[in-house]
This record gives sequence, C-alpha cells and structure tokens, in this order.
Amino acid sequence: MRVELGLDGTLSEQYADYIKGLLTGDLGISITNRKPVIDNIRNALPVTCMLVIMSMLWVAILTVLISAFSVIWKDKAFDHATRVICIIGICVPSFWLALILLIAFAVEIPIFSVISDGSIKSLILPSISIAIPIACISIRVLRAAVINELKSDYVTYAKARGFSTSKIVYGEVLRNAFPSAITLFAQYCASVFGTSALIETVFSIQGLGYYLTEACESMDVYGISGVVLICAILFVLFNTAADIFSGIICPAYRRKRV
Amino acid sequence: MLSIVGSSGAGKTTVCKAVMGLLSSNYSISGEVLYRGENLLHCSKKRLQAIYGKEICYIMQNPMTAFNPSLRIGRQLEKTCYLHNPQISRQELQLLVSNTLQQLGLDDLKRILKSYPDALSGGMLQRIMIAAALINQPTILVADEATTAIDACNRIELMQLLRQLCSGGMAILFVTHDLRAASMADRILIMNDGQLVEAGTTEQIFNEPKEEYTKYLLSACTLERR
Amino acid sequence: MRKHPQIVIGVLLIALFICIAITAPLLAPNDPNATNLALKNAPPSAEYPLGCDQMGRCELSRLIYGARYSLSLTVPVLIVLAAIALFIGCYTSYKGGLIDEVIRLLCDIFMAFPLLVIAMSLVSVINNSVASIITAIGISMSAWFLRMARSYAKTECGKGYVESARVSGASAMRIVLHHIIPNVLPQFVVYFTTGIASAILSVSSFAFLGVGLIAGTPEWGAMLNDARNSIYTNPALIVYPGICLIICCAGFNLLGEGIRDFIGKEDQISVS
Repeated sequence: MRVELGLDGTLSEQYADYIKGLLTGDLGISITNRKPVIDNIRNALPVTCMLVIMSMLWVAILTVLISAFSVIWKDKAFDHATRVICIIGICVPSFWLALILLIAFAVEIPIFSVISDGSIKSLILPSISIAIPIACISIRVLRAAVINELKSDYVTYAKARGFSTSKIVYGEVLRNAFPSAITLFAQYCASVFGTSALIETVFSIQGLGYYLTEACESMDVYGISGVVLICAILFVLFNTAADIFSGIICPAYRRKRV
Repeated sequence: MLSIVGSSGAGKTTVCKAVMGLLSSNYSISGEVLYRGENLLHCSKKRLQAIYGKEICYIMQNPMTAFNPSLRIGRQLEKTCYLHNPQISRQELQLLVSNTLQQLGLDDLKRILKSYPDALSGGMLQRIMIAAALINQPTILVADEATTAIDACNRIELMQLLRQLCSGGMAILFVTHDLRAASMADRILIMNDGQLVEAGTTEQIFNEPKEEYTKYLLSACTLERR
Repeated sequence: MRKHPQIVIGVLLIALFICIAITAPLLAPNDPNATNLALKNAPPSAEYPLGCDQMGRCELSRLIYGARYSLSLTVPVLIVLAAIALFIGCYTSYKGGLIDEVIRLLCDIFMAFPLLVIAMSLVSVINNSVASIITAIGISMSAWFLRMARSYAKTECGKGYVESARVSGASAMRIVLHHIIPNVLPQFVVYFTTGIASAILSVSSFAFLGVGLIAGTPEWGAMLNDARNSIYTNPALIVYPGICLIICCAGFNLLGEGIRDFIGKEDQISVS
C-alpha cells in the first residue's frame, strides 16, 4: 500500500514527486477512496460552481438595486431600514441561516427537500443562505463608495447642470464607485468555494467543501492540498478578472493603477 | 454683468452655491433667489432641474475635479447638451459641441473630445467647462473664479468673450478676487467676511469708493500693478 | 455621544458579553457539561430556563459559557495584529519600493486561501487544537489587515496634503504617524471591528465543522453542530446559539459603524 500511494521514499522525494505531478495535472491519489484526487475534485466541482454562481447572482442583484436606492433615498426610511437589516445581516452566520431556512421552508412549510440532490431548485435555499450575509456587506460597501463619490466636485457640477440625482447615481457615480465593490465581489466569489463546506454540510451537497471536510476528517493530505490549490487558483483568477473588469467600466481606476 | 469681489473666505462661492441651489441642507438660506419672478428656493425639483444647466449655468472654481474621471470629455459635453435638448440629432450635437469648443479657442478638437479629464490641463478644462455652460445658450452664467486657472493671454481673450456674450444679452454673475478683472463688469458688489460691504456701478467703485474695505482693495490692486 | 447611539449600544453589548464571559461560572444555573439523558430535549423549567439539549445539558449554561470561547479566541489576538498591521501597512505603502512589493505579494498569497481552508488544513496537518484555530485566524486576518491598511494609505499618499508635508521637510515616520495614520484610522477601525465580528463567526464555523474544538464543547458553533440533527425534534436548540452569535457580532459591528460616523463628523468639522 505504501508503494501504491507513493509513500515510500524520503519526505523530499515525496515532495518532488508531488510537484512533478502538479505540473502534469496529477494531484496525487486520495487515501480514502484510492481514486486520483483530481477526479474527486472534478466530480465535486460542478455542484459547487452552480452554487457559487447562483449565490453570486443573488448578491449582484441585491447589491446594485438596494445600494443605489438607499443612496437616492439617503437618510429616508428605506435607507435606515436597509442599514439596520444589513448590520444584522452581516452578523448572521451563513450556516445558521441555512439551518433556519431549512426549518422554515423544508420542515415547517415543506416547499424544498431537506437533502439537496444538486438540481437548481434544491440549490435555492443554499444559495440564498450564502448570498444574504455577503450581500449585506457589499450593499454597505457600495453605498459608502457611492456616497463618497457623491461628495466630489463633479457631482456638484452635474447637479448645477440640472442632472437629477438618479441620473447622477446611475449614469456617472456608479461606475466610479464600482471597483471597490467588484474587488470585494470577486474575493467573495473565490472564498465561497472554500467556505462552501459549511453550507454543503448542512444541505448534504456532495461538493468541493464537502470533499474538503471528508479529506480533513480522514487526514487525506493529498485531498486537502488539492482543494487548497484549487481555491488559490480560483482566487487568483477571480481577482484578475475583477481587475480587468473594473478597468473596463471605470477607466479612471485603470489609470490609477498604472 | 455683475461682479462680486472679495478676498478669499469672503463668502463668494457660498453665494454662488446658494444661487445654484447647491448648498447642503445644513445651511439655512434666508431671502429669495428670483429668476424671472420665480423664487428658486421654493421651486419644485423638476422645475429646478429644467432651469439649472439650461437657463442658469454654473462654472466651477476648480476645473480639475469638476469632470467625471471615467467619462471622455466629448461624452460629457454631449450628455450635458442632450439633457436639455433630448430631440437633438447626433450630427447636430457633434457640430454644436465642436463649434462651441472652437469658439473658446480649443482647436485640437479630436484629441480633446477623446481624452479623459485627467489628461488635460487646468486651463483647458476651465475652457471646456465654460463651453459646457455655453452649449445650452443660457440666459444667466454664474462664473465662480472662471479666469483663475487660465494664463494671462487666454484670460484677456476669455474676458473679451464674456463681455461679448454679455452684450449679446446674456447676464453674467462674475465672481472673482481680482478687482481688475471685475472692472469690465457693469456693477460690482464688494464682499468681506460674509457681509455685503459696498455695491455700485464700476465707475462709482473705482472713482469714489465709500467704504474703507473697498479703498483697501483698490490700493492693494494699484500696489500690485506697480 | 447622544448623536451616535450605535457606539453606546455597541459598547454596551460588547461589555455585556465580556461580563458574561468572565462571570460565566456565577451566572450559569447549571454545569454546562453535566449530561442527564432523562432530561433529553426537556422544555424550559425553573431549573433549566431554556430547557435542555439533545444530551440533557442545560442550554442556558452552555450559551453563557459559549461567550468565553467566542471572545477569548478572537479579541486579544486581533487587537495586537491590527495595530502592527496598520503601522507596517501604512509605512511600507508610503515608502514603496521592494519591501512594499514583498508585503503585497505575501498578503496576496495568504489571502488566496480562505480562512476556513487554512484552518482545516492546519488542523489536519498539525493537530486538532485551539492553537491551530488561533494560528489560522492570525495568518489570514493579518494579511487582510495589512492589505486594507496598505490600500487606504495608498489613497491618502496620493493626496495633496501628504505631498505638501513631504515638501515642508517632514520625515517619513512623521508623515506616517501624524498624517497618514490619523486619516486612515477611521476606515481602518471600521474594518477592524467588523474583522472581529467576522473572526467570531469564523471560530463558530470551525466549531460547527468540528475543527479545532473537541465535540461537546459549549461553543455556539459546536452547539449548532450538535443540534443539527434535531431540526425536526427541537428547533429551538438551533435558534438560541445563532441569536447569541448575531447579537455578539452586532455589538462589534455597531461599534465600528458608530466610530466611523463619529470620526467622519469630526473630519467634516475640521475641513469646514
């Protein structure tokens, strides 16, 4: 068995083997089910991807709409309500929210099933419970960024030219305020892959996070490092994408960085 | 053409902003801002948005920060024009923009229209801002230190242009700290410490100033000339 | 202070939780770890005000002891980290050059790994203990703090007043301490307090996955994990720990929010 798992030889030899494997896309062999780690990850990734995409859609929609409105109605009832809800929302642990949603919409009112089968419908509750705490943070970030921009001279000037507040917010300010929100958004996209373990445990989704917890429990070092590697790669990818995207919608941001 | 003169901190910009309805809600404004018999302080938001930018245009003090950093100059000018003339055609719009810019002595049109604000100099942006004001042919122009960022040659040209617009029927509220620049106005208001010190025609102010502060400003002005 | 109720509420909540954590043995009506299977899922009673959990342990006592874990694992570590990160971040960001690049690179590398993933791999590679959790939080949070301090400082460095301070001959240390840090501080404090809140949540989520704390520990996240199977039988067991977590985090978030408003106001006054 030691030979089969590549555990013969010294530590440095094992490490060299591992790195050599990485370059050819071989992440080693999982101790638990004796399959290549890359295959395990390939099996787990699609569900998690779907989950992340759905949650991020929620986040994007909620963030842009709510923060723009709370800026337009700044210091009105809507703004105060959003503020209070967001402060509470940030404090809500996503796994607790998931459990509460389960109790509410799967046990008390059985619309959804308790155990997810990977279909879109079964991913609605998980994605909402991931999205809400993140949306609460990004609403606040975007709102603050927009209000900061609103203090600048060009907004005063636009007002003096007769532009209405909503025109200023949507047409002029939002794109200047976007980069901070986009950076945050990308980072959350990447980190959700890692933290998906929590939600996937609650809903018994056989995704990447679930695989990570399994690997952790059985001390499967190859499995863990495979997932860690994937998370890091995703993080870099998302960040680069965010940078490029920010540059496209806000040219001032691009030039600031150069 | 009315000039408001005063040293820095006298409250000139505050007056401008009060006229333009730009003061934030922590200021309390008393009195009236009358435009053709309408008190602008009590107008509806819609009405104000129709007046500002179309009838009353504003030129800001600091041209470097007055433009949106992520829109090209051409686009910003077009937007300003389009806002008040939604039915204008694309060609007319472009023609209008380039004509106005040329009127202000900006010849390198292609480059200017394509650049972002931070690629242009303060003087250029100042003139572009004036162009953005003139493009809608306002009846009143509120110019807050409009000539400060421009070099001496262009300043004289610009003053002549403003004078010319004035004789063409445009009213100009010209705010400056420079009494000499104010001398081309018909009437002058002197401000100090947020208070109106003296008001009169240009001849009155220059030839027979009544208040001490006015005399002081005049002497400072002549001193500088020497 | 009356104008900023968030600060007052935030401080009160934090003080409340700290008091609870310190005086837990006095406040708790029962031993949090004493099991009594006869009282399994017992309803609230005089002796057990919030009832008992699925092992017959006093729910209220466990909640009270839970405050200890949440606060002691995060607050002291983060205060030290934040102070160091703020200074280093501002200084290198102002100085620029090689150190700045190295710091940026290090931050980027550590930030690439989600906190949970770091904690889980540390736990499985080293050992399943509280120390692993603290190390994980330390590594990942300091990277974030550094990065935030750096980016806030970068925007400040571009502003005119830093340049004019430099022209007037102020030393780098002076500019960083007297000009950059005071201007960066409000944003950073807001980030810091929310950082504590999210660290508290992280600790709970580790416990929820059984990472770093032994099963049966009276920690809110661990309690949620224990109660996970009783969504049908006793949903209250899920509600209570979550509410504790929310209120505890809300305290820190409100404080941060309040401080930001407060300093923001002061900033405005000095400008006009």
